[in-house]
Amino acid sequence: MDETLASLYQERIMDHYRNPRFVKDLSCPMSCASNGANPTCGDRLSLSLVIDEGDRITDVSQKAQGCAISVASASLLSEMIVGKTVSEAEELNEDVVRELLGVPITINRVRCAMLPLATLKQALGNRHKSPISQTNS
Amino acid sequence: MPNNLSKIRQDFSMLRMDAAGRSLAYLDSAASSLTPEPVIAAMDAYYRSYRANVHRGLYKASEKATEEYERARKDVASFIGAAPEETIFTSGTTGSLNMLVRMLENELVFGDEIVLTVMEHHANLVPWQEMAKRRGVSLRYVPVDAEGRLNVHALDAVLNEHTKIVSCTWVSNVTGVVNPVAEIVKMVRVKTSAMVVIDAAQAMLHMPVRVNTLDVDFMVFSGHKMFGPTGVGVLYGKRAHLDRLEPVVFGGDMIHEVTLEGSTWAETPRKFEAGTPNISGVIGLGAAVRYIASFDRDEMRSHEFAMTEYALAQLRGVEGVRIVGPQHMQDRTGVISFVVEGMHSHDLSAVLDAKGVCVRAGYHCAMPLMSAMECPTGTARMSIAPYTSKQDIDALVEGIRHAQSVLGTTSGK
Repeated sequence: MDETLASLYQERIMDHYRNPRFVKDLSCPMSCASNGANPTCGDRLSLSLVIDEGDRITDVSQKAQGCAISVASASLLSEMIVGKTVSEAEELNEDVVRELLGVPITINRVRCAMLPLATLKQALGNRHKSPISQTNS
Repeated sequence: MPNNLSKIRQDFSMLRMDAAGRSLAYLDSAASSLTPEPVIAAMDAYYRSYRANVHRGLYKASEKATEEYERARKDVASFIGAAPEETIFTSGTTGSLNMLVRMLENELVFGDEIVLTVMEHHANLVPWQEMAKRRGVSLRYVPVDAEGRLNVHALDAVLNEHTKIVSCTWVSNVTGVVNPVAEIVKMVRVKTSAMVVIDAAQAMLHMPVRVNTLDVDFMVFSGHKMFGPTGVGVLYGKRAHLDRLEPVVFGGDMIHEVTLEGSTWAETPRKFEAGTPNISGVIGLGAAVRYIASFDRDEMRSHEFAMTEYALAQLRGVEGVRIVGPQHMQDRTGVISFVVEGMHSHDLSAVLDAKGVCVRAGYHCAMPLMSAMECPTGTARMSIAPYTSKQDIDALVEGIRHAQSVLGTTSGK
């Protein structure tokens, strides 16, 4: 495979794109959720979390549609946040996502890569409200 | 490669061949066309040898700048079959449309109707939507068929005595569909007293445009889509309209006299060109129309026709590729949108980029059309220009096949 291509669509990204993790029902009632979208390119994500009394994320349910970067990012991020406390999850930023993806994200793909992070922040912000709130990132 | 084609390609440094004899397959001229040497040289000459403001100075450099600026106006006007006074320079199609909407706004009242189409670029949609909110006028949208072609009967049906403006694109920037502008103007004239506005941004490079024979009231287009620089465009308007309409951008150059009690306006076109214009942009646009006019336009059209035909045939030959829009050659230009099964157009264009092929992916600033064509995640888009070669198209097809092997197909996407 061409070097530049190999760097963006390397095995891990393609694996998470083809077999995204946490695409399943939650094990218990959801604590909070959010829907995210990039209206300019059609990436979408619906994300739900279960948070226990110790404020720890114990389960994630996600469904992402769109380009490989946004789908892989949603899968990788879901894997990363299970077991984290809400404050730890709230501290995640763009640099963490870049490192997590481990591939060069050019300026035109940043929104794709960061959609799951933005959706996660929205979901955490929703945890004291009852309805699911729609959000565009 | 045919002689003429290799000759024209030499004018574009972006198309230079590398050590391996390959060149960039630039298939995104619908977004912006490349800029030929003569246009760059003309702008350079302004900046290096007669850099001065226009219309004001009484020294040689300013006189030269003014001459070249007005020569560009004359040449652009003549290129479209208009008078210089009817040819206003703006920042581009979007700037032209925003200004025009504001100019026409004061003549509209509650209950008036404006007819648009669902295939419009956002620049010919959003300004009207916002104005409609301000003035209480109604917007009517003419639908398209499965191929993205305008439903002309629906247009006819929507016209009535309340219709004051009909604004539509000449060529769709998504599907390449060419609208029957002459027929539309006739239809409007028969049933209404409405003004016709035509967005010619995608038409100017690809077909001869004569506003006098078309009888349109207003026409807009951009320099950068027709070999000119970015940041410059044109608003054409019939003399009678431009004499009657008030300006909406005010400042220097567009005035006749200014006192503390009030001001009076210059005549068209200066009335609509407030402030120091994009002088080098206008000079570049003048050079661009002269460059285009130096070619045999029939030959240019035949070449683009042949490339479009070739592209359609090649794309049809790739399994999993679906062309969005007209499947064949009739009444269309070389703008071709397509989707590839099992992959998002963003990923496709990233793979193509690695192979030196430039295409566009996404909604192409036409979300309502994407909706109407049932493409919720957008499309990939290639576009033909006078410098497009068969090799460019072959590179695209090879790139698509490569993307299919790299990205594969996935479930539930």
